[in-house]
This record gives sequence, structure tokens and C-alpha cells, in this order.
Amino acid sequence: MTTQSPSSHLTMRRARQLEAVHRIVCAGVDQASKHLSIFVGRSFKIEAPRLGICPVEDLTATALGSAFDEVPMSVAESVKTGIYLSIGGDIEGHFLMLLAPDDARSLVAPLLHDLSVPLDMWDELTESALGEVGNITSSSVLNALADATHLRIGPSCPAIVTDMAGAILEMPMIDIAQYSDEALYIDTTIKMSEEATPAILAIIPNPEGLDKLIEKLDVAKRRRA
Amino acid sequence: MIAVGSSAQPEAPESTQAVGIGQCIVSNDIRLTLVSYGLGSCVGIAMFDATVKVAGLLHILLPEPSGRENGASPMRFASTGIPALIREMESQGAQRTRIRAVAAGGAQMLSVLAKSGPLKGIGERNVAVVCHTLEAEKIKLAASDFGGTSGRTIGIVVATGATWVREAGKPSCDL
Repeated sequence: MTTQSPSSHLTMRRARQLEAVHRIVCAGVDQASKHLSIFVGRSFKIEAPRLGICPVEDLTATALGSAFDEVPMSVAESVKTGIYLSIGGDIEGHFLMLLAPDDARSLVAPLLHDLSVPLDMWDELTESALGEVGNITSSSVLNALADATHLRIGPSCPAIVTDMAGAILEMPMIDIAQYSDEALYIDTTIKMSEEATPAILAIIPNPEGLDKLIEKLDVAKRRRA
Repeated sequence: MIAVGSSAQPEAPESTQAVGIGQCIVSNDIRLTLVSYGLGSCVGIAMFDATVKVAGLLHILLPEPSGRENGASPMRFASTGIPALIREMESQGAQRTRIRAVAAGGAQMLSVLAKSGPLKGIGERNVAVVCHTLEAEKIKLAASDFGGTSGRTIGIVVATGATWVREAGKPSCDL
């Protein structure tokens, strides 16, 4: 686990609590990798996620900079495809996968080739298939969190958008900035076949949601002890 | 955060100074172009006083403080960031009556978030407070590029005050 902000006021206890969240997310991400490999019909691995905390204004540069090998500030302008789902239920937050547009298309291309999709329907069906990738990934991760905490946590319908990365990441950031000065995010890289694809899987809980998650994990831990 | 540039030799090469989210940069360094990259619902507000050649760029995230933030920078908000930008322009010799403003942003990026919840219409709300605050401060909004569903990058050339905006995959347009 890495904490990215030297000004972070997290205590050691808080850090240990976040490690518990991190472990569950790792288990969820493993499940997501298995389900996605079956869905796209080839090896698909979401690498062990990193958990980071940064000042909310730095979320774009920090999260994008760690995943994409580009100039930190102008990376906000580079075009990415985002698969976005809101997290709702007992905790609220944001779930976002960001990939280079070509990588997003090649991720679901085998599915569309198999279906012999006519060229004029390619874009629409690519979006639909990417939405399913978002559904599978978010369900796996959020189910792992829900099972461990007995909280109701679910994703919304997916939204697909291809635009400047900063502009896509801004929406979750604006939401967090209304309540907090720090953002917690979980990011990772995605490996398709043997090739590592720079990508972000960002799970950004609202501060209240994160507190609720940690509280439930503490209760579950005390019960086991 | 306010950063302040300094005077420079005219023959020095041009360079770009990024203005991040919740940042405000005011400069009279004629080598610089101030740029805010990837604005979605955020708004970039550029100001220029042609007489003293002082330029500023502010990148706001939200319309106004809600009171729930804890020690947030005033530059995060339109209602507090714009007056701070004007003060910094004035401290570098600009005069309010000469300042010309140009702004871009306020798009609605993710329709799923735009329809309901706390982010409903956030781009429009940002634009409304930017326009209202400029009016209250008696600063003329000479040009703008607001709304839509696409991200934007805005830049201002300190030497000339020329402002431009570009969307993904499109050439820059002068504002």
C-alpha cells in the first residue's frame, strides 16, 4: 500500500484499516480477472491494485501519472476511453476504468469478431461490450466488499465515454471535493495476454462511505477474534 | 495556490505553464503560455490587461463552498477564486477597468451523473456562478466556450493575451 500525500493526516491505525480494504479489493480484482478472461475468451489479468491517497485536486495527475507513461500535466488532455459506474447502496462512490481507446477496442474485439458484427454496428456494440466489462469488473470487486462487510453495495448501469482523461476523471473528483480535501483511490494496470496495457481501475469511495466500510470491517474482525 | 511569474528576456524560448485543478497562476513572463488541460465540468477563467501585459489563468472545480470542506483553497471555487485572481492581477499592475476575461468549460461529461444526485447540472452551475461573479466584479467576459459534452483545454499567451481552446481530436480555436 502506498500513501501518496506527505501531508496526509492518516494515523497508523487508519493505515491498517485501509490495508484491510486493500486486501478485500485484491480478492475482488482476482475474481474480476477470472470472470473477464471467460467473457473475452483470452487471458485477462488485472494486476494487484495499489491504494493511494492524495489531495483531491491532485487526483487526476496522481492517478493518471502512475498508470500512463506520459507527461504528468498534459496527460489530462490525452484521450482515453472511460467505463464509468456509480457505486450506490449503503456506501456511495465511483468506479472508473480508463484505457487507451485502441486498447479498449482490442479488449472486446474478439467478442465482436466471433459474432460477425457488421461494420456499421461496430461502435455501438463495442460500447455495449465495454459496458459489460464494467459490469463484470465492478460486480466482482463490490461483491467482495459487500460479502466482507454485509453492506449493500452495487453498481449503476455503465456509461462509456471517450474524451480527455482529465475531463472524465473530473466528475468523481468534483463529487469528492464537495466533502473532503483528500481522495482515496485504488488503481491498477491491466494485462491482456502477455502484454501489459496501461490502464486505470479507480475505485473512489465518498469519505462517509469509506468510514462505513472500515467500521463494518472492524466489527467483522472483532467477531472473528 | 497562487503562483507568480517574473519578467523575462524577450528572446527567450516560449514555454508552457500548466495550471492544475484549483490553481491560479498570474504572470507577466512573456515567454509563457498558461494552459489548463482537460477541463470537463470545471471552468478555466483567463484574464489579461493589455496595457501592462499581465495574464492570469484560474481553474475552478466547483461553483462555491458548501461549508463542508475543511480548509479548501479558495481557488477551488468560482465565487472565491475569481476575486482572488483579480486581486493578484491588480497586485502585478493590472487595472480592473482594463482587464478582459475569457472562459471555457462547464461541460457535462458523464450523463449518468448529470441526471440526478449531487452532481446534477454541475457544469451549468459552474458557468452560472462564473458569469455572476465576473459581473459582480465588473469584469467584462469578452468571449466564452461553455457547455456541451466534450472536454476542453484552454490556453492564454502572456505576451499577447491571445486565448485559445481545443477539444479532443480538433485543432485549437481562438477565443
